[in-house]
Amino acid sequence: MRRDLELIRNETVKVWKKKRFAVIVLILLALVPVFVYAQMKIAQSSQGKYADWRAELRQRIADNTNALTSDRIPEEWKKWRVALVQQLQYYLDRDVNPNTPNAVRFTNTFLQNAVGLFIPLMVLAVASDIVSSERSGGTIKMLLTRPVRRWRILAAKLVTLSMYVSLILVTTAAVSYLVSGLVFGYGGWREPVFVGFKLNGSNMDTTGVHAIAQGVYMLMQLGLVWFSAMTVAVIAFMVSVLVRSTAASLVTMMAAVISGSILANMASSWHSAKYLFNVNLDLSVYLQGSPPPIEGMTLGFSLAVLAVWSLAAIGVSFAVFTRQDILA
Amino acid sequence: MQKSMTAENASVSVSSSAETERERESRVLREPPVLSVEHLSKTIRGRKIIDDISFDVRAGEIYGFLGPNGSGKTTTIRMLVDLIKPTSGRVLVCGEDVNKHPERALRHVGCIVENPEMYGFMTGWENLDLFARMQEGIGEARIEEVARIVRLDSRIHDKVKTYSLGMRQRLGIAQALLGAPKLLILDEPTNGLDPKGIKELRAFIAELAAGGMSVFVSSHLLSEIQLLCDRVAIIDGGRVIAVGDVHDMIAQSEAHTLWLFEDPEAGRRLLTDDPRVEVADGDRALLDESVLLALPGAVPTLVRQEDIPDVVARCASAGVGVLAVQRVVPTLESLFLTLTGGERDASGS
Amino acid sequence: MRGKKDRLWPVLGTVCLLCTALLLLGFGWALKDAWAPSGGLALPSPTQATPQPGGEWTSLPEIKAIAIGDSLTRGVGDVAGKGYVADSLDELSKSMGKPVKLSGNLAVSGLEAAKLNELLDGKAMRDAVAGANLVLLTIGGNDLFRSSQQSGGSIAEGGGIDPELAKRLLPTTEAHLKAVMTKLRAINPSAKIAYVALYNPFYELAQLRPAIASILADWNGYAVKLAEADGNIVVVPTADLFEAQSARYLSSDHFHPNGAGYARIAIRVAQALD
Repeated sequence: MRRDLELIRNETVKVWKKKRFAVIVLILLALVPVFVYAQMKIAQSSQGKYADWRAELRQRIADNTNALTSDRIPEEWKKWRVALVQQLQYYLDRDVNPNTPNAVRFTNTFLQNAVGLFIPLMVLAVASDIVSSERSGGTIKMLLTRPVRRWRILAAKLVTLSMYVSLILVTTAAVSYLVSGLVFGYGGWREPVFVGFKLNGSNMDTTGVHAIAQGVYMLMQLGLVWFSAMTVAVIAFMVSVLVRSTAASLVTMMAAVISGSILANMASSWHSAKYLFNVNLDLSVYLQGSPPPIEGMTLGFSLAVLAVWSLAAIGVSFAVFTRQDILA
Repeated sequence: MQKSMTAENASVSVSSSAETERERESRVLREPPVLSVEHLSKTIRGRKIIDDISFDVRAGEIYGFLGPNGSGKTTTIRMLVDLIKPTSGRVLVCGEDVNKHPERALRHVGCIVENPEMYGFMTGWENLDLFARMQEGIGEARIEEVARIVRLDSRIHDKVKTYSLGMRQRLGIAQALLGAPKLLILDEPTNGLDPKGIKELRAFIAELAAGGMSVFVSSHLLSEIQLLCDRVAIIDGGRVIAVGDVHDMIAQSEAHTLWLFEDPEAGRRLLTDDPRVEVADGDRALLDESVLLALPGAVPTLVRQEDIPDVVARCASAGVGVLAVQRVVPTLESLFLTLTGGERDASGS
Repeated sequence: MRGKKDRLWPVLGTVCLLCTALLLLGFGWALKDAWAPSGGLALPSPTQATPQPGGEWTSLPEIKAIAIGDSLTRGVGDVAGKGYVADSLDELSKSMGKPVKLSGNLAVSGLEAAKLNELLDGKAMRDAVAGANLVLLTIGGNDLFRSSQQSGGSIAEGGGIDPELAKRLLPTTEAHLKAVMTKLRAINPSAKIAYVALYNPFYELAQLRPAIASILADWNGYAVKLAEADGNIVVVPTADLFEAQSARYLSSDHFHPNGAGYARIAIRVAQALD
């Protein structure tokens, strides 16, 4: 056990010294202000137009309802808009502003939009090279000729990876909160958000809807994002074991993640696509109550799919790593 | 520098100082081998890379592993340290099966497989610290000690990516020595080192062995092995073709003699006509090119040592001035020729 | 140098562990909330928007307008997407010499009178209407003309339009219109309501003219009657605008006005209100 802790320490220090995490923080510090600025521009432009948020919300509802009447928009978009209209209506009816500008709201929105691509990419920065870099750098020979069983070394790497995934997510939320707070103010933790919307066909079932504080919503969202980020991390980990070059494993995983977000947007009538891990990554849709990419997907379903993929990836990683010959 | 290495090594060599050479030898023979390779084979994608290799390495001996590039040296070494699983046969280190119980067997092994790759983004100290944590009972004191032994203590807190190849090699050795191993495995350790570095390394290895450590050194250069090792296993095409004392083997093989004349044409004619001399030109010249370059225009021959004075006298009487006559160490190629009875195709390595 | 490095692991390890614990907590909470939700936050009951102070427009510093109804108010057919609403309010603002502000165009194309009646029960509509001094309204066109369209005929050619069916739909639609007006008045007793009357989009089809003319006369007459009863509703006639040269003022769908058509409606609306 003590030895295992030392192994985890080694791996953690290695990733840190390689400045992977520093790069991620730099990327966040460069990109988040851009998003904050864009959001600020949107807020400013709508500020002059409407008497208050209710008028703005009413207009949004009307505009989205009008879009629904067009025959040209695809059925899936319609469903999405129906859900949105009914949610906005719910907020309006209860006199709750769904768009108060504050740092917590911004962070929630940012996380929601980042879960499909941005966060997986940051996770890949660590996950894709945690094993393959040892092989391409040749250091794996030093690592595996020490009197430690191979599975222990791999397990230490896996634990390290999970720790960094957690660190990346919390850092992302923290940077987003701190930067956007400069513009939108640091409040908003206790503002209400409605959750529990359920879509039944094209109708929104609001019986289970209840209000929670925005801060709690952020925590819940982070938890769900963590689960999908872990799945990406573990699958990237497997690819990193299978593929010797870091670049190849990064490209493979990026292709998988990006094709997932494309597939999810195509909202295909290809129903079996819902068993792919990459269309299940956006767990926050269930929290928001917007329609899932493919019909029949629920929170439980997506969690199960991600869990099966993760376990399989871990199984393959260990099976291969403990047996494989280090030829070069 | 040589001196400091020796001085530091006093701490490593605990048992040797007290006993005489003979005592040591007899003790070593009584002990079980440190490394024992038994009928090792490896098949990769249906091709037999290693075919039934067996040899033993005893305590305190420097054991050479000689073979041309591509003969299976590296594959064998990787099997010794559990990087590659053998298809059949086994490797025992101090009686422990490397493949079945690597966590026990590898405790006694320090190794550098091919290049000594370390983490360039960390300092030498951090690298050593990292590997020290993977094993029981290696403290800071030991890290400092090995850093001093390989004379890296002045640069140990610099990033490894700023190290020269020689320094990396030394850091690799420091890493291998961390756990005070009984067996040190070095794969082509002189690759990329300058002559001074090679010389230092040789002396260093000798010191380690004198301290009771067994050292297993692979090389494709016979001269290297000859200078360093007590015994040798010669591998070719995945099979061990000979095991034994290096000096005995070399004595058995043909040695070349180079002749440099004032008038090369006349000299060559003279040698060709002499029945005791065989001119070994072209393909038959199994010599290191560097040797030929040192004596440009020299005629390589095979001739028995006792015949040389007479041949020189004949040359002198025929009026052909002899500028130099040089015996050269046999190359691996010529050793092979001896060992395989000339069956092996000389150009086929 | 070494001291600093020794701190890296304890700090990093602890931070990572805390982050993981936090995220696991969030994950567990999300699952619990999804599968076994508890009551949730208590929210203050929504406030009702108070109706705008009534009285004469002359005493108001600015006039707040709201537009509701169907595709005509939405501006369908105008390639610029403007419709009549913005223009008529601009015009009104100029002639009255004070700002007229549109607080929202809540029209939904394809809306029928019954559906509008339903929407007016929702908080969104109620608040919007309650907060306005002026309500711009178009409704009825979909009830009468789209509902009476037979399957197979394209509305653009007037094909499939069945004047008899439209005639039969008149009484119920008129009842809906009355309900809409009553409801608007109940929500906001003081706002001025401008109802843009219907025109004949099929004027080009001569054989339909008499039948549709009689329907329009009936419908628009009924609207005027409602307006007179209320006293603060104006009906803006538009039928004559699309009779001569109707092709110039109708959009390519031969049903909605085009930009020029809407501009003419806008002028009428502004005139009627001033």
